Amino acid sequence: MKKSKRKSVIPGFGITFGITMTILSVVVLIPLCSLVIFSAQLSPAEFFHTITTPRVLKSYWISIGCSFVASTVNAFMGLALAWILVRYEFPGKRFVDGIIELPFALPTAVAGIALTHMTTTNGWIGKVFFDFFNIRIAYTPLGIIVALVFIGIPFVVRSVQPVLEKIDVQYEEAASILGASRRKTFWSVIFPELLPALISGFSLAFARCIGEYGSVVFISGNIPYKTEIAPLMIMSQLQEYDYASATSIALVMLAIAFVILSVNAILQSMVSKRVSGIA
Amino acid sequence: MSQADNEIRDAYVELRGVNKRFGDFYASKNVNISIPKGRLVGLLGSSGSGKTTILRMIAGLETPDSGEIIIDGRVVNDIPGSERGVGFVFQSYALFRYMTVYDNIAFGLRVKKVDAATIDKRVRELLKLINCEGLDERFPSQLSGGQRQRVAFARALAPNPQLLLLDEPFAAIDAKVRLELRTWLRNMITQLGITSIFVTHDQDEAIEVADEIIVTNQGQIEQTGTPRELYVNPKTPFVASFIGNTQPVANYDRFRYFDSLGAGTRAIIRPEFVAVFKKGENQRFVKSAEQGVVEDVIFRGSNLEIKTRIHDVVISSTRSINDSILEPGEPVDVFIYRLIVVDGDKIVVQNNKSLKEESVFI
Repeated sequence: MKKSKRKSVIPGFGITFGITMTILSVVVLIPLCSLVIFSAQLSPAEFFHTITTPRVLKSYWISIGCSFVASTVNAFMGLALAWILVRYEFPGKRFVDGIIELPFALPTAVAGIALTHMTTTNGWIGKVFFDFFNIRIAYTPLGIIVALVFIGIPFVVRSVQPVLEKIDVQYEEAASILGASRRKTFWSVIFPELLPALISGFSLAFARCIGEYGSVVFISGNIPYKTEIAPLMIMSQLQEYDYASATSIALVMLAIAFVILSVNAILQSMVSKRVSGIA
Repeated sequence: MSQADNEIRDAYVELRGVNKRFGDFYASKNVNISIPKGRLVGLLGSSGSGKTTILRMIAGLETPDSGEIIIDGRVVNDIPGSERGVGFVFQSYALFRYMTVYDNIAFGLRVKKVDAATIDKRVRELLKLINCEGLDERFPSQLSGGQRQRVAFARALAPNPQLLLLDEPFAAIDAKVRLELRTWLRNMITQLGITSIFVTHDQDEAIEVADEIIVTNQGQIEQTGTPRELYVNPKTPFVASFIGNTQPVANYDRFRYFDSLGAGTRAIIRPEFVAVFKKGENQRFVKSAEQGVVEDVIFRGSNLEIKTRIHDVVISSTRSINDSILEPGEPVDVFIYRLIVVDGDKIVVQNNKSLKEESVFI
């Protein structure tokens, strides 16, 4: 930051900074620190043992794997959704645009119950898949992915949509006059413009999915070693009043989320360098 | 311009009876244009006059509602823009932000599956042409406005188009660089001999750069001609009042040696039609000059603008900064060389009768 005595237009840097930091500390930083303190009740060996039991290890992989697949699906679906919302006019467009945020507003447990009901072998959709393809959705990792896709979709759509709206049609016109096909134009001109937003939407959805609990516990069936997600392991430790173990696993989750968001931040800064011209 | 005229000129680009509507807005109304090969043509008009629509229709970015667009003897209405052999330079350049200068210029060749060695040769050649050697690895954001414009120019030229279209090519550049680029672009296009059409709302730009100007107004072509023709011999009231620094004067017969051409007519007067002399200054028009009073003297950098009140009208004229200084309130001799008289749709240039047969230079 530049050292300057000039008065900013916004008054009271001191007081606004103080308020911001206080709120941030109370709401975010202190609770996170308490995680570390709680888990410090365990000795390093105990801590390491708690977070590496086979069942817990498996649950990380299920969480990360399902979240990754779900976020990838979301990246495609979200891009397609944002595309039709920006580029096409169709009846009910405003309605579709409005319900994108529904997964944010809905209690996730409600979503979980609804999705489970639909995807069991007796449910509307689950029956079709089971009868025709012999695929079970509910109570399998596939079910977890379905729930996570539902949870993550707004992140991608809302990241990509404003960027897509701002892309000047001149870029496409320029490419088309130079002889590029529509596909070539999309991949070499439009897609690079969308990529930062897409990465950011993907990362946010990914981070959110890893922490998702409410909707997943209903649809996953919570079968040990098969469909147990990491947040569920935390819950089960809590139900046994083993706060230290619960916070230890939570700490690992925190680290994972931190890594994901850092990777996103690094990618964003790499991409934005090209556009901002600061090499 | 009539159909017959089109036939006579060996046109490279032609628009015949082209109409284009956007909802209730007529962007082009029965537009007829013919542009010979190798010519540098300016489409001049105020915003909303339909000049950009004409350019976009030639490029295939808009489809006319009716009429024919002909390029090189071929009706191109149903041919996509990429196959019309045109290069297009966009107003804001539309350089691909995530590609280097090199990749931007090479884009048009790569999509045509030209081999890498030929592409490299062509791109190097163009980089040299636009004085941007060494900038090939930069991204558009790392270039100055003038460099971006030249890269956009090179990108449009890369696939060897026969026709170059430029939409307000200098609008996004600051004044100083704009003047340099005008000259540069004019030289470049003349050197390459490529037929070019550019759109501008700036008459100075059109007059300086173009071989020929097409003036558009409300979706129609007002007049086509060389800059000098438009200046000296405007054919329509719009052109007369649009080109040059004009001021309208009613009851122009109040000036000596000018007759009224009838009721309802009005005159247009330009600063270069008027000469203002200090009392006692050595000049030709001592006898025929009229009496005026200086209202205001405005310093314009390269010259002085003198506002003089004469017969209750204030008219502008210019004087060299080397001439003797005039002060506001000072009585002066005023001589008006000519007026452009607007009579309905007709234009009559009326010379000062005291000049008789003497030739007048604008």
